[in-house]
Amino acid sequence: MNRRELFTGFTNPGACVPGGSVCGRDLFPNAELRTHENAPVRFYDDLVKGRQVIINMMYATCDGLCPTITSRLVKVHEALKARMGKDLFMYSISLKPEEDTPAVLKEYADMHGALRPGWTFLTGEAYDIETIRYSLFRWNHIKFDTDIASHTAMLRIVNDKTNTWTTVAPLASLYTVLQHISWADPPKSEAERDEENRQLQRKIDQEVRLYGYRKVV
Amino acid sequence: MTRSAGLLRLASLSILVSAIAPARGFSQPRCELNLAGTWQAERAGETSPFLYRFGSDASVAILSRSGPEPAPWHEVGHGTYTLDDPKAPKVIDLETSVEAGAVPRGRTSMTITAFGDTSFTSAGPGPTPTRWARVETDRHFIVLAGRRGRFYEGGGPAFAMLIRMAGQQTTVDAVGIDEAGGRPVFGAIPERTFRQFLQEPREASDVMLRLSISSAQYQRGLKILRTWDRRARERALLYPDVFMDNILLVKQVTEDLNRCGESVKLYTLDWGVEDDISEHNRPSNIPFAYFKELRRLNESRHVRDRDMPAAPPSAKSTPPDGKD
Repeated sequence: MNRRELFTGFTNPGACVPGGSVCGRDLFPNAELRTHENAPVRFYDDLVKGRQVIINMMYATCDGLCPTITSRLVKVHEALKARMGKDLFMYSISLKPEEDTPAVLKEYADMHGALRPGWTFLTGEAYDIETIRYSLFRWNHIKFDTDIASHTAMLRIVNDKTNTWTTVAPLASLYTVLQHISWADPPKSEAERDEENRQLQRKIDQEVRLYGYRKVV
Repeated sequence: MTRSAGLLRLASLSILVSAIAPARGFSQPRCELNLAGTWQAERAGETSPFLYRFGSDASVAILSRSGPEPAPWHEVGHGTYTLDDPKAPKVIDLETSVEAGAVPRGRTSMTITAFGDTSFTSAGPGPTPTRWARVETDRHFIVLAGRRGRFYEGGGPAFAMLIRMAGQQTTVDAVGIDEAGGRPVFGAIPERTFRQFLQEPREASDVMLRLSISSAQYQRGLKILRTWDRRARERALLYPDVFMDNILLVKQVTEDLNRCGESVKLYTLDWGVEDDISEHNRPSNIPFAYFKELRRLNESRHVRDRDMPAAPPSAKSTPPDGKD
């Protein structure tokens, strides 16, 4: 790491720099999966590399929490649709790849109104799915890790460019889920941050004028 | 609400959700009926003089002895079969060219009322239930072997080994943690290490449990070992710590023995509050302590050296992707 990288690193601590922290390809399997459109894709190279992604695990015949979680993800997609497929992507990976063929996943997505831009359902070889599940959702706890259903209740948000990882329960409120996704957003430019601060200050000034104190959180 | 309180609430929610989530379909893999192999039928206490060899290609061969034992078995008829669903078997349809004991000539249908690794029971053909027992021609063993005091933190090699003795041929597959230059290495165990556990060890620093298993248990165990061997070769291990991978391997291979009914007494290695082994041992020592406890629980099932079939001079390991 050179001097410039050392200092710029402070503003973006997890960022992948040549010769720097472990990130990118080292953290993700690059297994070949199939999309709900039956297209072959490499997990890291085609889906994660350089992107901000939201990943969850599900299976089509799950009649427990999965449909509720998928409905929540539909709302998340609605809220972020301007970014979806551009700089933000959503992946739902099957926990039962032997049963969930691309056609089954497509039908599931269609049934739940989840055939949307930037949202891909994925299946593959059980061995590869297991590798991905552990690399993204591992608890380092033998009981939790061997119970694959526990992973339907987690949403992993990763920004590969900045090497930022966050996790949120998908059944948390929409506000909370969106907040967690924003924590992995790419860093904003100074001009954007100045503009946001100006808008916030205007709001605060207005409230102080109206109520005599600041209400904005 | 402060951010830390919010995070705490989220974490609690996540754990709660995790606890609720395993609602359906995610228990241990279910027992499956694998008909491939040779079976003998028994009805009303009478053993059929025929053997039925089911192929994996839906063929069935009917064998009979040409004279009293030890006359060799030879094929006297053939046919085809279909099993509706190996995961939840209900019906076997058979079509044979000869009448052979429990099985009449032509088409017949049998309803499966119970099944396990080594037998199944059918209602029919005819009014009397028939019990079918798998004829095991080979001997199969699982060995859980561990040593302590070899690594810096006290652990040592620990692995699961599967042995098949087929006539003069002995095949050994072993996967787990070995020692290389004082450091742990996860993967296929080389012969120099597994040979030390082909006989009962004498040292107190060693532990070994050897169990006689069925061919179905052997095949399932082999699949688990080969998957872990593949993970080691492809650098696709599930944990960053190889000791955790090894714990998962030995847990999977031992718990799978009971998939079709209890054949060994198990210890629940699950990181729970009642799991003393994981509570009081470093991950590197857990397989050793686990094997020791399993040996204590299964002392009567342990196969001693004197009860082992005479071992042929060489025991060879199958290639990683080798077929049986």
